[in-house]
Amino acid sequence: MQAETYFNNAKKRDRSLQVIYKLLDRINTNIDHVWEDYGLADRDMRTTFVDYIVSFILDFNIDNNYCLFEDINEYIFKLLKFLNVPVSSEKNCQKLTNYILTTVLKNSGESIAIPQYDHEEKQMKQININFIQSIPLKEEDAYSISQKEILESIAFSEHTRRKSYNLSEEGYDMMFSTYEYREKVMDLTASMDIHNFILSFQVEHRDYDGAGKELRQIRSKIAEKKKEIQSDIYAIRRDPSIYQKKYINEVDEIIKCINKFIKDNQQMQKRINNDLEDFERINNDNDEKYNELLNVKSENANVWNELNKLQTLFEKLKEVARRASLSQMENHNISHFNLREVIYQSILKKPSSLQNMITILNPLFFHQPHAQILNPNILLYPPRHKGPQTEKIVQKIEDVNIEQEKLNQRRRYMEEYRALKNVIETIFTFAVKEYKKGKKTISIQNLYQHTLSSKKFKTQLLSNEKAFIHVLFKLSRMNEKINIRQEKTKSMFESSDISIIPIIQEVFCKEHERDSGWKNIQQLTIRYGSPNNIYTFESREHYIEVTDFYLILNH
Amino acid sequence: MQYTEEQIETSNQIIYYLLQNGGELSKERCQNLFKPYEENRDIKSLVEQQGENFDCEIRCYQDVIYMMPREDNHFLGFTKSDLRGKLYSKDESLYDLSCFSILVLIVEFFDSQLSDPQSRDMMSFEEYCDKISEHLAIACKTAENAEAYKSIKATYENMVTNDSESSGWTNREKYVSKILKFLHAQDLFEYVEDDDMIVPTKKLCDLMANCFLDQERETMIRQILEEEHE
Repeated sequence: MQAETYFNNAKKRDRSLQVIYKLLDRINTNIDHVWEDYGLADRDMRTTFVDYIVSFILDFNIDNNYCLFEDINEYIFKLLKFLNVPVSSEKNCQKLTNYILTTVLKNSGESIAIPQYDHEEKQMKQININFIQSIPLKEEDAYSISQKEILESIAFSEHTRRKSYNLSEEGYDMMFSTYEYREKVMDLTASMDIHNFILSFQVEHRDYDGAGKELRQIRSKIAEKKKEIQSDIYAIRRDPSIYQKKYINEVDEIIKCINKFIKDNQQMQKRINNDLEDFERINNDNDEKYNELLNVKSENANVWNELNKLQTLFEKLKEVARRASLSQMENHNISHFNLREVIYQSILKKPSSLQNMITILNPLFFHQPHAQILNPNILLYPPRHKGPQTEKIVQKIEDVNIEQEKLNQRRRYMEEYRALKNVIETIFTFAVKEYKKGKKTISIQNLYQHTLSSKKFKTQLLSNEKAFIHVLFKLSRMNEKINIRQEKTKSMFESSDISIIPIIQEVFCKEHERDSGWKNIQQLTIRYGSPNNIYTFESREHYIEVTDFYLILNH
Repeated sequence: MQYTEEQIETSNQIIYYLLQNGGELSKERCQNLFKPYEENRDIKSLVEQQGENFDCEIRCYQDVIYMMPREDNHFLGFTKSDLRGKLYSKDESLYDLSCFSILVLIVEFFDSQLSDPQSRDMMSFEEYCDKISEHLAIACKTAENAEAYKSIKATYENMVTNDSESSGWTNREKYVSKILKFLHAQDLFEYVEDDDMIVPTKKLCDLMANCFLDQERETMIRQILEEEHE
């Protein structure tokens, strides 16, 4: 992790740690001895118990379901039964449920104050937190038919207001920070569920920067999975015996999940498009959030692509697994021999057989004879009288080859020319800039350093260094004044070697129109400096050793 | 059997096309020659017979006619000196390394025990370089004469990496690139530079699945490998 990212996340992480610490503290404080009444005297057991309950509430929240007191109570009853704690009915658990919800998870109306270091103000501060919060249920809040049905089925009375238990913001942070660690051992679908949940939470709260980061995480997770599946496919193909029958069923399940993720992704795309339309409607194009949202849109599209690729890969895995299953079950008769066993192992044992490898590989190769001897008249069958026509074809092929060679030469020339021009532009832009500052002589070493550090030309075919050495090579051999106003004498493509002076003239001519600073320069002089300073440049084409020399710009 | 002049002419044209185009004639690219080969038995047998005389096998797989030189065909196939000319092979150890690198690539891609011999779809350039090292290490442990492989391994390990200035066989990337370029020229593997992936061509997949790994060739291949090199 980079230091910057680490620092940015520090605040959130500190808070999560504080919240976890506080929760553990509350679990350990056993004032009312309620835990003991239910046979939960062991501290670790109590911690796991609370963790289960918080995860249970989180699951309800993720699925957008109401989590009622009865639900939690029923779950606690099941947990106790699982732990062989003698509790006769769900009603008898209510004391424990109430204790966990109000005392441990502090849903008693007041929040807990905890000290926290403020990274911006660089001092300790008190913040108030809750682990869970209860939201009063209202029939009109139900946003789906199923939820409406649930609400209708709950008996509302005037005396008791029904509540749904949700995790508070701190509760979410706490759970997700623990999930981040757990994720490493979780399978793809479970971790994708969490990522998707966080993503929709962030988009809903307009945290587009966070959503962008989340999407990048999802993409890297998919990439990891793709790599894993790819190597699984290779492994099964190499050794079908490692295939397990459960594979096909498991893969089917995963493909279903990926389908669901693709649908979720499409819904997310619609949501992002709606948000974008909202932004555009209120003419908020320059807003930073708008740009972040555009970024989220493109990241989401990338995730969609990756998901589709992953789905294809799983389909492929399924097919390979099916074929492996067939070859296992029917003792499939394979018509080809085992390359690894027959060729590879033999050569491995006997290195001298590498010398014979070309003979084995011959059927794969084709040594193309020259076109001229490929006259059909030399074939086995009576010659046809088509001599002149064949000669024409051969001549045409030769002409095409010559043209092709010319084209390749021109292409090579252009590539070299472009690289040299780029470097010359860099050198002289830097030189003129220095000239404007009052420097009239510029050391070649400075120019060299500047050219190497130039980012602009990283993609060019001829490296900056090579191009610079070439230019240097040419310039160093001139050692004379160059009139940059001189007219071009001949077309650059007429000579086989690229001349530097026309390029310099061209660069100056172009820059004259844009910047008056260039107009003042009429001549360039290359002059050798102290013979003690020798620079050595080595490349495939040139090996040159030059004494330090200077580029002098004159009026 | 009597063939018509037209049949002889067409079969000659097919052979001429095959010789001109690296031993490949696809339905897609040259339907006017593929169609008579596919539909006319006489033309097909005439072409195959001519192939025999050229010391080649001419077969059609997946809508492509392939002309494959026999193992000892040194005119249309390759000799050791031909291959030396195409790859970096300053000395025997470099030549052996080139052959070994080609073998590694073929083994990695065609090592399936299922009905289709292809075991993987692609490989990155870096992975290929690592695989050569990996297989050389295995060879050093397995070989009866480990010294030979140790020398090949030393040659490979002494090559510099990530140095654009060093040229020729002393640079690992350039050395491996040259092998890939040769395999690309032979239309066996393709290196997609933008996506950094080495992929086998349709020609190689077809030949591997239908001819090269044919069980009938197994004995002959074992014999060739057993032969002592002069």
